[in-house]
Amino acid sequence: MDNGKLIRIGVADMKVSNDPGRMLVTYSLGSCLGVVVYDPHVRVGGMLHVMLPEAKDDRESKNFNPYKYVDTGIPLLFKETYKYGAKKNRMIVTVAGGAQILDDSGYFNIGKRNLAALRKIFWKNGVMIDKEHVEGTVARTMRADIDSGMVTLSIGREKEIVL
Amino acid sequence: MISVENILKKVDSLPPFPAAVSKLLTLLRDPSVTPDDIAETVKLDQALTSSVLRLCNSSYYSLRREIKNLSEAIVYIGLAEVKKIIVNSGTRKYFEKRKPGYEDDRGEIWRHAIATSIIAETIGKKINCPEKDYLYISALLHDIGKLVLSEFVEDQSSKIFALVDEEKISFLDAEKRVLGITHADVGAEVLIYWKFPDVIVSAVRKHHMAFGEEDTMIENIVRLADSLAMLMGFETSVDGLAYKGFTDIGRLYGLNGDDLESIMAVSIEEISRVEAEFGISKEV
Repeated sequence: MDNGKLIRIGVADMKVSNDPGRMLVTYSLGSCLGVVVYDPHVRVGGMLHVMLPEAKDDRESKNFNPYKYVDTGIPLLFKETYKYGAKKNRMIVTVAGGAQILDDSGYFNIGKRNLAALRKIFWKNGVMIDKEHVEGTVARTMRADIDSGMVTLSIGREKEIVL
Repeated sequence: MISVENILKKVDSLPPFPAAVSKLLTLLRDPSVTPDDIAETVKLDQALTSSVLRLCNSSYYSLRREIKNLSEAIVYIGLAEVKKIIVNSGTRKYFEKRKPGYEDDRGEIWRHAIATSIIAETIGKKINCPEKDYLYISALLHDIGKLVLSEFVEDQSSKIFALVDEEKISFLDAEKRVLGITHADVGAEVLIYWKFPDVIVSAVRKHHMAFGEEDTMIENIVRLADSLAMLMGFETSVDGLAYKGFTDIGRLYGLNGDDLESIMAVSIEEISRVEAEFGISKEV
């Protein structure tokens, strides 16, 4: 795919598109989560790259970036796709990331905390995760094709996999 | 044939560290230094001069008029920011002149370096590290050994990765088996060759070593920052997150899970800003 078609989502960032020629991509998910929502009926897709579980006091800060956190980013991801005609009950939800470095004590388990926060907010709102590729000690690059809704992952030097 | 001797010879053939940058780093440690003193030295280096002026006139500072005078620009952006520009621009060329080897994506080692130095700076502020400049430089250069090794590992890198995959040994042990030396030791040799102070050399040498009671604050923060950079996705691609986290270090300085999260939250803003400034946001 030529690079002009790629829509890049940075860390703490979100993009939504209904252009069938485009592909959403986010690079190097470590403990961060990549969340893709896609409505196949209207062919609208959104991707969010969140870093931490909860915004807490940061919500009050001057240049608050809601896409940094699961609890403030997820609602915006859904709302933005609704603007393009997407409906919650048709949404296919794919999650990747939440990895950690080697650590038996759980001190660095930000990836797990991110996942817990995500499951909590989905549970509260009746959203099911359809496909996921999470945890472990790998960094993942996630791509979502707007035309087909296909989500793929590349991990290290391994071949790209379809979720 | 690769030998440790050949690798170390390569270190000796690296271009010297830019004189203007070394001089500025010394100057900036003097509390009585004036913006004019700094401007005098910055002027000697065209790339530095344009970086300082460009930043000062960027939308970040939203000044009403264009600043063309270097001393004035230094006053506007402040000494702390000038230091960062000097160090970043001064080292950037080394990160750019690479052969493939340790990277499967363009500029990954440089992005990891920038992220680690900013995270280290954030931790340093939080736990009051007295040597902020040395800390920043140590963190920025901690993987410089990978750049030297990249010249050698073009054919060897697959062997190193295979060992990691098949025998489940650490990336560092695999490096040692295949090359006879680790990127941490090569990095330390580079910095000795560039006549960097011992505190920086040892922080680079020890950045993957197990935590020891006698380790310095700089050595510890660099290790912790390296771990957090990997977690945040600023890893160096090929070795992933398969490193041991330095839990002891975090606890030594009384940092809990919430502190780590707030360090990440603060750092990402600054990392994004610096990436935009250098145009190194990751593309394909």
